[in-house]
Amino acid sequence: MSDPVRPLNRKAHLLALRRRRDVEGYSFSECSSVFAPGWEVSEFGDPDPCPWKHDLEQCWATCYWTGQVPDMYMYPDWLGACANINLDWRNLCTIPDN
Amino acid sequence: MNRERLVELHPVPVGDRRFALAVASSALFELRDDVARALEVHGAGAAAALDAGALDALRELQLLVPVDATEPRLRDPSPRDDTVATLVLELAGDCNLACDYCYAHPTAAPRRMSPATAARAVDFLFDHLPAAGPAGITLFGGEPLLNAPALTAAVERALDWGAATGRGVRFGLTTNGTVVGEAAVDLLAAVGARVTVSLDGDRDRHDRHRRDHRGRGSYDRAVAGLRSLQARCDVTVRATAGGPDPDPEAICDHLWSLGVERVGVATADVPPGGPGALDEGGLARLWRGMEALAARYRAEALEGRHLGFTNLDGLLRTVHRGVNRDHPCGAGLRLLACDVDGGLHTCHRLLGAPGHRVGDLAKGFAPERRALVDGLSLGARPGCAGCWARYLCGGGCHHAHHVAGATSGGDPLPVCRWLRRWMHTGLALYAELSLRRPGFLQEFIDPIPACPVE
Repeated sequence: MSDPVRPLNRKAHLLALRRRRDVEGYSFSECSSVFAPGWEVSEFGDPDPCPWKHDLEQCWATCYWTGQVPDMYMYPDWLGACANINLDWRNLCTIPDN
Repeated sequence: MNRERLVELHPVPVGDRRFALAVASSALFELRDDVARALEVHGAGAAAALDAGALDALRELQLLVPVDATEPRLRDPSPRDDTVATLVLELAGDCNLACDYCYAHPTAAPRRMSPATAARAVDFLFDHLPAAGPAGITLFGGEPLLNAPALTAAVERALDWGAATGRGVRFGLTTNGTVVGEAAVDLLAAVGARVTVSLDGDRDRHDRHRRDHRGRGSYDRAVAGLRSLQARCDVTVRATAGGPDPDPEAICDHLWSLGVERVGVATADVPPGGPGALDEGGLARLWRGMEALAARYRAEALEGRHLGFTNLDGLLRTVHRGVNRDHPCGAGLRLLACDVDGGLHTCHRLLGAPGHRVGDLAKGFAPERRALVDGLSLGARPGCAGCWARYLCGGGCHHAHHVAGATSGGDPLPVCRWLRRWMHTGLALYAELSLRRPGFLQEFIDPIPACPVE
């Protein structure tokens, strides 16, 4: 391991995302252009942070906050040019705005 | 010169690799050898032993902060509004069993929620749902399947609301399994309910505590009900590992042999010396068994297979998400329990407990609700202040505190030291799987369950 410190879980990745941000692309609070709901009760009744922090593709199937991720029926490959969303986010703007 | 300090870290060694949990943020990191060594040798003064590159990396990740700065919390929000996402319904205050360790103290004589109250409770939930997300309805008791009319009323009302509003509904049911009829299975299967059956292991273990009012064991009836439910529903078994000889491995092995896919083990929340209570020796035996199960889970996971042991699934999800909370669960926040008469309480375990009633269906929330719930937060538990696991844990089950009573300082619950070890086990396993089997975490720990009813 060459980096002095390597993030492992979601909160560590969140700290890593915060460390050097020259552009705030796409989102307010990672996912939503309005307000992130941010909190939910899990299936076990636990307070449960919204699971969207860094995995956009996963959001689509379960996100209850409407309109934050593209229509993957019509555009199943919308992330195809974004192997690493943190680096390739500029390639996201490929879906025609109808 | 600006003076700096390292944030509070909990070290997690795994083989020759070194990891650390940043306590205030619940962020888990791998540390390079020299960084880990400096931390081990110099502790909070490790900065003096590190090169400029390492110091920059630690600063960027807010692991090295100005000495007078507050450590960054990445706290999960605790909503302070009057919304409710999950409502637990005490459909029956009575039970056909009289398990000696039961926290619910159900009556033998029928004490039932009326279908009208069940429907009103569902109305209350939909009137208070947050702006988004499914409505959660947990059908509970006593034994909820003793009250088919109210159960049916609640389900039908929720489906009507769901259809009218477009909101998903997620149903759960907890049952002792002994009065499972065909109609109930049909209904639960039709709405995709997640069913939890209470079964404590083999016949001897189960019947030691789970007897009916005439003193007869309930194992055979519970297994018959389990089989009916397994055929059509998504079933988890919850086992209580009671004293004096808890053996979670034996419990799980037996339940897995019955074809149960997911087993969770819990202790009996009873006062010291109560039925099923564990003394220090019993707790030690319990956690040795839990660690043995964790070792088996790890061996399976390293082969890409998943052992149906929900305690560890839940712990790995906690670590994966970096749960960081001021409350141990949603109780009193967006989870409430409704008793047979329409009274609202912080949770199903605390129905009727002093200081836990937060309102009723007729009048809505009591004005003291917010102060009551704030009084259950981590900040109100001074004994937790020095614990490295405090933000992963959130302060411990409200009901366990209720049973244990107030403490003057130190660990607030007898089980705390064992839970800390368990959390450490989870951190170490998560770190190891991140390195050796990241696909396992993606497949079994990361996915978010979809709402079964849309």
